[in-house]
Amino acid sequence: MRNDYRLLFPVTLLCGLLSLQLQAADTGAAKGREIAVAVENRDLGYSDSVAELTMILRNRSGDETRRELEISILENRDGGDKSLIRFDFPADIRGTALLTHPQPDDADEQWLYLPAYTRIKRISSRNKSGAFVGSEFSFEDLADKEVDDFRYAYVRAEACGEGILMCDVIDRMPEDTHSAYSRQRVWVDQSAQRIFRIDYFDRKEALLKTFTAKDFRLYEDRYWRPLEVAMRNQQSGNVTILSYSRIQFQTGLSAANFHRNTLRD
Amino acid sequence: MNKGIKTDWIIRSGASRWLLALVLLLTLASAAGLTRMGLASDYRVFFDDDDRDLQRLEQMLDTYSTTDNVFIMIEPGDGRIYNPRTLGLVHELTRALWRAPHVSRVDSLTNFPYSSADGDDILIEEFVYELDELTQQRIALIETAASGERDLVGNLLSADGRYTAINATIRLPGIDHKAEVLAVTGAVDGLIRSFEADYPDHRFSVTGVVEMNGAFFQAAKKDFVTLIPLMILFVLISAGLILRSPAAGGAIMVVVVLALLGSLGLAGWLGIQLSAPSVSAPIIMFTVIVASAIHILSYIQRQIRSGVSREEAVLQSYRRNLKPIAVSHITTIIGFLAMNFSDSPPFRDLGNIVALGVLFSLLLSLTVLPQLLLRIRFSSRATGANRLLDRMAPLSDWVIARRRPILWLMLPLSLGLAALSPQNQLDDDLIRYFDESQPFRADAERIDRHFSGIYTIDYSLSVPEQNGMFQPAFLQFLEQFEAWLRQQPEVFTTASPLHRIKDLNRLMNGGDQAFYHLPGDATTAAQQFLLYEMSLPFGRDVTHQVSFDKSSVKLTARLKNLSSVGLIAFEERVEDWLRQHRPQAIGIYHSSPAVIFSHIGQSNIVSLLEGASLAFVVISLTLMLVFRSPYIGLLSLIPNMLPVAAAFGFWYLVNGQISMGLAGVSAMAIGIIVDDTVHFLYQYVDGLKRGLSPEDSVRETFGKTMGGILISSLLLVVGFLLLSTSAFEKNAQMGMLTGMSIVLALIFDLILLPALVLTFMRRAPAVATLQFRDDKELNNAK
Repeated sequence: MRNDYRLLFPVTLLCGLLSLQLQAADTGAAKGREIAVAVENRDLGYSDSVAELTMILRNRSGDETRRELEISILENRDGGDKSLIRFDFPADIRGTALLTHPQPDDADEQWLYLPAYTRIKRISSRNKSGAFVGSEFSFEDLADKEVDDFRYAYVRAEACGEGILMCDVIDRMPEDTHSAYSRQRVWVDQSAQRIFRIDYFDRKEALLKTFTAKDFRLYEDRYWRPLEVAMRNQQSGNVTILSYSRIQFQTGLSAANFHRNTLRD
Repeated sequence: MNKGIKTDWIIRSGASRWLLALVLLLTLASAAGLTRMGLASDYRVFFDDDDRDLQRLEQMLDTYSTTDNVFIMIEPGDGRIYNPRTLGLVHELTRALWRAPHVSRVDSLTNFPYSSADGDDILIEEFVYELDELTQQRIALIETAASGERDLVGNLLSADGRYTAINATIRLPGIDHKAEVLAVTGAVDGLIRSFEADYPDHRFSVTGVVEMNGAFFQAAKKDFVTLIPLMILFVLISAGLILRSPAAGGAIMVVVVLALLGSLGLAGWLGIQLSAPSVSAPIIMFTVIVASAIHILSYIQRQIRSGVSREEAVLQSYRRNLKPIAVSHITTIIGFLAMNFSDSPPFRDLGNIVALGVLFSLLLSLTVLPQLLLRIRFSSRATGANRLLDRMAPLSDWVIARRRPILWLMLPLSLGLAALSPQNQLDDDLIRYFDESQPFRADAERIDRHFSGIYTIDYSLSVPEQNGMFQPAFLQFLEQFEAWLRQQPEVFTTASPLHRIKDLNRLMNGGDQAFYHLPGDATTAAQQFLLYEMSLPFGRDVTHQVSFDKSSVKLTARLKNLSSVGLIAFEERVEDWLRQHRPQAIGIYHSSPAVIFSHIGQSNIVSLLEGASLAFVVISLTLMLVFRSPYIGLLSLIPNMLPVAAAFGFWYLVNGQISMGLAGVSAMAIGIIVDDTVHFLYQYVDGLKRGLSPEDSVRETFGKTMGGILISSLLLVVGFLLLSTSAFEKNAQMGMLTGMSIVLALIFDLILLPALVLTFMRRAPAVATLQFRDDKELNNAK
């Protein structure tokens, strides 16, 4: 049997090209992940934050409804950040509070305090994909992200919206099979790792929601926070706006403030 | 002034060429509009944009999230759904549907958020979260919990536990509605096929609003591709049989095709979209145009057989037939234009497209057709049809001899039959819009036996204040209303957030069944509901039942299969109850596709009957003008109105259900059948004018005109019967009923009309003398 050398060359070439392609995909993933790590690092050490905000729900006909709440967050490097959400308005849910202790690889631990009952209820649910109090934000969108929650791909660099700032655009694919999304496309500003925009693609790869952030302010000389963010549902036309009236860092909160017994306060 | 010459210039003069060119140009320019023509794929085309019922439905759709859906029923072969295989199937199909185009939400047994409480611990989780967690214990738990779950039983689970269903909510972007509907139905079809292959022991049936829209489109398309070739075949065969001349058949085809292209194209320019009802327009047009062309052609052929030259025969045919042809075209146009009285756009479109087509046919019959006829060869051999016509003479003698018994027998008989017509039940059953060959209908009927499919009424209850839905007075009224609805015999089940609110109260009180009731105050209810809202998985929000500002709530009554009359009666009973019990502060309105179809069905019948009455009046006036005699105009009403009324009476005996569109038959049929009366009376009066006795004139009319009448009527009947094979049941019934009207009208024209004129019109009307003198001179000249 005679070896056919004429075939060998193109096959080698093809293999070479394929491996180049794979390498390119590898570097894309690595570069995407690098950016995600940079975003994560940028926020390290903020310790805790307290924010007061108004949540405005607007439907496609332009009708609005409003909620006021306070969100406290405690940095937690091994495991996700703990959060405490307390409602101030409307009156009938005033004082209602939700405490979340994220559990990597398991259902988050959540406690809910309803003033009408004066009892604390522990809620078990593995669902993170649901809407947050009827808004266009889901728990998943609001929850603290870990770098390992996603696979990454680098897309391109382009201007962040209309300004002169340049953004890296990366895709991140959730590892959780119960996620509502197949993919999120994130615009990260190259100079300060601020997230300007996220496109959420649903399970059928159709654009579902667009998150946009504006009015960034610098806190403690290090932490950028937007004063207004919006989540627009591209399929229903509804939009939810979070408008921050006050953000404070390093207020001295500790794990004790994020214990379920503090919910009644 | 010589009538013959006046007619001849249409065929012979130089001006005729310009006219021909003009008509052809007009036809072609109109035909260019065909590119704008499309097939509609939305049930909303049955309504005007400013229709009050449709607007209310749109308001409902704006307040709550969309109810457009695809509903899939799953039926395991062994009649048990609580087993790993079936639950696994439901889980997989649920997940797969999430990936189908435009799906915004999927509800199934497996992703139902089941909530339970253990002291202060509350667990809310889908019945099946991961497939490998589906143990025997879990299945046993699902069975116990699901069969007691009010939001599942009757909605996604049959009470006997043998059938389960998945409901996918569809949100169409609305940019290209047809493409979007077809993308959804295509993807669902594909999924069902692959699941059928993997689970041959399970049976799948599909229904829902989006599927119904798809079925409207499919039915229209099927009609378009099957019925039109059938019609062409029919024209060629009938022309061959009657005229023994393929070339004559070709000439008719040219006119028909040009008229078709012109009218459909013009409709396209006017922005009309074809939909299931109006897709029958080409078929009706075909039939009407062929029937009228036959009058001209059969006359020519008879003349050629008797030895006249071809050119002379064509000219003579036009001299003799020009006026009746013009009159019969005009009456047909009036009849179809009367369909503009319909409240439903597709039926107006149908009437207008056919009217346009008939107008084109008139123009073409006067320009293109004679030029074609001058250039083709006719067979001079007698055909079977000719021989049949020659035997018409004995019939005339029989009618003349027995005219009194005919009158005394036929008038009371047909009046009796006509008296039955009000007995028809008004009915607009959405599912029965489709004929049984359509998979949508078979599936929908199967599903309807276990679940309530599309027969629902949505009630929206609201208070002015935001978050007002939690007020005890509001919730108590909702509870009272829902309880009353559930007692009604028509109601299969109801759905509202009420059960959820009561169940949350139970949950918050340690799962104690004694707490399954409304919470005592608004604050508690609001806070409990907040907990529920926070624990729902993706896509499973409450916006389908609760407005986003929590000021209104939707209560859905799922009804047993109801006719439109039953539905309207139910609606009225609910209105009565609400008038007595509704608190002042609570606003209520209701709607649903089933409701708006019932209403339009009802009002459409009334408006189409009004249109038909007007058409009768206008057509009678036209005949009075043509014959210059009010007497003849009134007399002609008898052989035209009675057959239509009698056909509706006959319909009561064979079917008994009148639905939207069938009422349009009356207007349509009168325009068509009056043609035969025109041809008969024209000939008969002409005979009297020439001094013939009434009996001789009837004999001559039978010899000269009855043949054309008989053949064209039979053609019309066959054409409308072809329509009865339509996949769209409304079109099929329209075809049947019109065909029936034409048969009855033919019998009337053959037997009753001669008897009538022999009894009541023995002398030509005095005024008519002037009118027909030209023709008399012409005949004398021959």
